[in-house]
Amino acid sequence: MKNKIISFLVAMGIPVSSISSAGGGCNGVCGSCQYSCTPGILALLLLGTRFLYKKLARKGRVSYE
Amino acid sequence: MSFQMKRILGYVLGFVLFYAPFALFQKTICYAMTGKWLPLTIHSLCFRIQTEHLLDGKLFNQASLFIVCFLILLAVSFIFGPVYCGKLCPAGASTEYLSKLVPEKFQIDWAKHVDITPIRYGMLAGFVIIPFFNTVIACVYCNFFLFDLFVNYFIFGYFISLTSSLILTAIVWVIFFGLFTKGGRGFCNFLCPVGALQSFVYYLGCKTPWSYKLKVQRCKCIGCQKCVKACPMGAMYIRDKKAAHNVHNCILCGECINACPVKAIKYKR
Repeated sequence: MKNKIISFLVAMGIPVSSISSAGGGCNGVCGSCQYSCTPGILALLLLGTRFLYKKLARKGRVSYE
Repeated sequence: MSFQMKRILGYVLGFVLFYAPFALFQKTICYAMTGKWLPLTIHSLCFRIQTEHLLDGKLFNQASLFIVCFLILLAVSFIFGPVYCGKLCPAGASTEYLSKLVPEKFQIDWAKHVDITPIRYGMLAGFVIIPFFNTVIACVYCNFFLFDLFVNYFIFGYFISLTSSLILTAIVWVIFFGLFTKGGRGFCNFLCPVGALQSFVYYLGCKTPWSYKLKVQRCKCIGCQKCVKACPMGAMYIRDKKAAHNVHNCILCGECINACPVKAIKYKR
């Protein structure tokens, strides 16, 4: 249940984060918000890389066994 | 006519009904309400734009069409389930069919790794909140808008410039959540607020006896998992060696019904 609530809040944060980027002057063109969205994009990339790394590691382990 | 051909025809019909330059659904309702045949697009159905009109006091002047369409969508979802997603939405179907081009070993089966339901509803909650802050930037997440842009450009030669964030969203939608996702409906599963809203209404409708829903006859099911493999949304799973479905993800596309060798899955009241 705790994980579900965390997932729910994180997912809610994705569209809600556009409020801050719009406040930073974002109009959809890169650079228009003075790259204030960079931390969010880095966090997403980090999460994605972590997920893919785990998946690849699991695959590698299964094929080794 | 084969099942797959019926599905494709349904998506073509969906394009003609909801997308520019046709948008017959919106135009017909608008004509019935005002007597005018206006050049409407998918934006007439946009929840965010209409919520802004709710805030600036123009809702009943400009958005009565949207209110009618929205109520129709809710009523249909309540009685028949998310049939718009499964039978008519060409944006979701386009990535589903594109994903068939990539071998399955290169695709991520998200349903195996993450609990999709809270993410799906979390995105919906976010989309319900943001219109109150007047954030036009929400449009860059919108696959309906992107589909409208692409089709109008490639088929009708009508070009609207793409911003960098729209291109990024197109990559996420078509490549990451499309080509490299099992079933090709990652965007529908995680990011589409329209689909999430319909699923929630379908979930409520399933609790009533008069609504249509997917039913698995457990006595007939042989647990062959063909429905699990066929489901593009990852909504089918095996529980106690029998098939079961997650109402929060199911879009009623009918792939499981078609794949079942013993006809254990039915769509009925």
